[in-house]
Amino acid sequence: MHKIVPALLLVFIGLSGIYAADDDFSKLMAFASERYGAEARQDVVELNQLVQKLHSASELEKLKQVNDFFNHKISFTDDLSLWGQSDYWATPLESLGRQAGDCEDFSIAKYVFLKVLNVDNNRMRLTYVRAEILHDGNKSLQAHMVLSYYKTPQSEPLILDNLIPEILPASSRKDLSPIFSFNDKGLWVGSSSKPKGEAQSNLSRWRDVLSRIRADGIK
Amino acid sequence: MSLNKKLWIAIIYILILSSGGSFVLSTLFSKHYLEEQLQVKNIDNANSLALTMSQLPKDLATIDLLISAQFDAGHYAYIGLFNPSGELLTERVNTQSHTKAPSWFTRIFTIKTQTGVSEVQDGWSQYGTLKVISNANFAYDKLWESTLFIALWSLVIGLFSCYVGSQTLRKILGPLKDIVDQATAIGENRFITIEEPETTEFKAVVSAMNTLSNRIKNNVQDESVRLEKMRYQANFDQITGLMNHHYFIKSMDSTIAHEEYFNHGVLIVSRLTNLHLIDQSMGYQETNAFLKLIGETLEKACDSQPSLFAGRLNGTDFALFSTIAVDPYTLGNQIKSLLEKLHLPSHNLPNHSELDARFISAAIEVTKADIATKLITRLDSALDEIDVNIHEHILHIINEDAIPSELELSRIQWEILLNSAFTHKRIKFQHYPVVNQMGELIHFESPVRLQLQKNADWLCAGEFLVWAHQLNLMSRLDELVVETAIDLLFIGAQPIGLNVSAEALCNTNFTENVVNLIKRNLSIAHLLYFEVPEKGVFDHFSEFKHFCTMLKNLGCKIGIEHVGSRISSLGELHDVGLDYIKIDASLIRDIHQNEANKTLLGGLCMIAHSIGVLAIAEGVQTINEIEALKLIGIDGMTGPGIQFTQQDLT
Repeated sequence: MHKIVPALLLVFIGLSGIYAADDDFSKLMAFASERYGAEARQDVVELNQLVQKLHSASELEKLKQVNDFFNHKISFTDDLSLWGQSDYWATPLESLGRQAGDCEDFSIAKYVFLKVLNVDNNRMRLTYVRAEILHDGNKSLQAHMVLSYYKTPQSEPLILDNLIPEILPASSRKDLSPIFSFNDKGLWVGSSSKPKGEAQSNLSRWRDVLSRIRADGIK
Repeated sequence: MSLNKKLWIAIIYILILSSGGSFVLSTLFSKHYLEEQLQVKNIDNANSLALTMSQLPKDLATIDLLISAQFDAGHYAYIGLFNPSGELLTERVNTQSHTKAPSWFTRIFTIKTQTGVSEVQDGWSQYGTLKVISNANFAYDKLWESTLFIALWSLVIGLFSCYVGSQTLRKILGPLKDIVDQATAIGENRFITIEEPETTEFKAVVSAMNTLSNRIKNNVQDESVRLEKMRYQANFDQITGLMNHHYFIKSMDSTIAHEEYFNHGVLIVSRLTNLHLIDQSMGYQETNAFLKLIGETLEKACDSQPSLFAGRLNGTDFALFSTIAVDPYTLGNQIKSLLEKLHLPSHNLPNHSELDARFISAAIEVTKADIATKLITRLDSALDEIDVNIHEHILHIINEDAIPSELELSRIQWEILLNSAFTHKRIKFQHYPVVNQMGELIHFESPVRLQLQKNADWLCAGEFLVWAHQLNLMSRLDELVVETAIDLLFIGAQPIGLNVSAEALCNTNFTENVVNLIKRNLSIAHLLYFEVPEKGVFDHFSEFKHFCTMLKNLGCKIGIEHVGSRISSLGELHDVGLDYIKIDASLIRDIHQNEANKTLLGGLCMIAHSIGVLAIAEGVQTINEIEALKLIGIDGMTGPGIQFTQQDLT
């Protein structure tokens, strides 16, 4: 009897989550089950629940939950083995569907859903970093990407990374040195999408993945 | 508006729409393409500059140098760097660049690009935001040039299309003019046929109109041949082919009765005195053949002199009438010698027979006061008095001293006097009304009168026409007549009918002069009625047709007068566009008593009406004739019996 109540509660929350799903998520769910099956759909449902839950949470809480969600759901695989091409920027749906991705796929997914959670675009940067990785006792340098969070323009950023799942301030990440950062500011005018008729192959990688994300149903 | 013009407007519309449309579209596409390229350049250059800056020391001198280097070496309108709080750190603005494109052009086709924005990093911390705007003037230049180029080529192609269009239109519409001309001609009762064009629709139209024309033509031709046969049977002697007694007398009377054109004439009667002997020895058939020979001989004489006509008064008597003054002795002798040459075919005669045809003749001068039957009676009794046993051909001249001698003038004198009358325009018209069935005026028949000398008597046409004819002054006279008629019409005269002689018809200068004269006075052209004698028309048919075409184009009316002896030729008139025919008085005289001529006249009216021509009776004298003519369905009448009072006008 005591066990049933929380279970019902869970079901209720789950259902309410499903029913509370806005149009973006219903489309995303439909695509997930259509393209990747029930498991992927379940992941999207969970993501939706998370987003619902976090709407009124603090920004730090949002960062933590979103970071954990994607670090947990997506396992690191390099693009070549996953997508058959050396550098492929996947959309969050593709990453969730495959349950795999490389560094920029993690960062893109986190960036996109933090934006969904109304985290200010100006506070986030996708940052190219040079990472020192210890492998079998050998240090190696690797190109990597993380999501940086600036509480204010002048403050030290927090780093959302998949190598170290814990969110740390930049000064604590001696293994990373930043090269260049960007977000989608200045890429899109207002709500206008890419110009019609423009071939997909002519877009930069960044614009390309952004337009594919829109096509998946996330605004 | 003509079809040609409408098609041209359609072509021009299409050309403007297609070339204008492609022109605007291509400019818009170019503009869009340039915007895309500029946008990509903005973003890429902002990113690469920001990337470079992120790697370099962040002292302001280095940053400034970097921005200067980028700005000065590239094509930018603006590069600016802002710190994270949005305050300006440094910027470059291009104020020197201008575009070749006029300002109205850049206003209409404004190239809108978005600023390229990129973040500059200083380690983990943000250093600033870089904003890059590329110089759009190059794009404007290119857009303006390509627009001019396209405009120029659109113009060239447009002009070429117009040329091709005009050629095509000419080819398509070429036959249309002929078709319209044919339709117009048919509308004017000229039933012409033309060659069928190749275009299906045009072909159908032309074929239909040709069929119509041919049907009318055949009807008129068949009917006129039938009428000619009828006329011949009713009015001509079946054996000799000469006029019969009845018709000869009517022809003579109607000629004498024409006060304007008849002055003096000569009548000759020749008698074959031994016809019964010839008949007895040769038999019926051979005798008829001989009589026919006599008829042909006289007919030949008439053909050589248009003023002569001949008839067979009874079995033995042949008559010849000259409508103009000649010496009775000369004419008599001419006929005598013609007849003396006729011999009976000897192989048909009994052996050793001395039999030959024996003629006696009598001649008399005819004046305006004479009546045909009385003259014939006089000549008859004169012939009766001649001894028939004399074997020579006797010619008896009845001299009437009472005949007043006409103007005894020499040829030279006539020439001088006529010329002076023409020069001083001593000319006037008599007016004889031509009215329709309701008694309304059609026009005034206007025979001309001349005054040879100042204050002298006015001469009738009959008195001077012979001389004008001999002196080749007919064309000149006819031109003067037209001039006078135009002058009269300008001061308000009623429609005037003028005679045109065969000589004038054949004189190309005459037609040309008359046309020029009327062209200068087009407003009264429709009041001019030109009429040509039947003989002149059919002897010079192509000239007559030319005359018709020229004058009909100006709006004048054309008619044929004295119609009666060439009825079978009326079929040729189907494509002339004639307005009226005047039927000779010889067919009109005593029409109420002559059933054959009534039928003939009815047929003539029908032919005339089928080609849209008015039928007018000449020489109408009595009320009985008028009533009969109305019943027959004649359109107009003229003659001594036709009255028209001026107060009926206005």
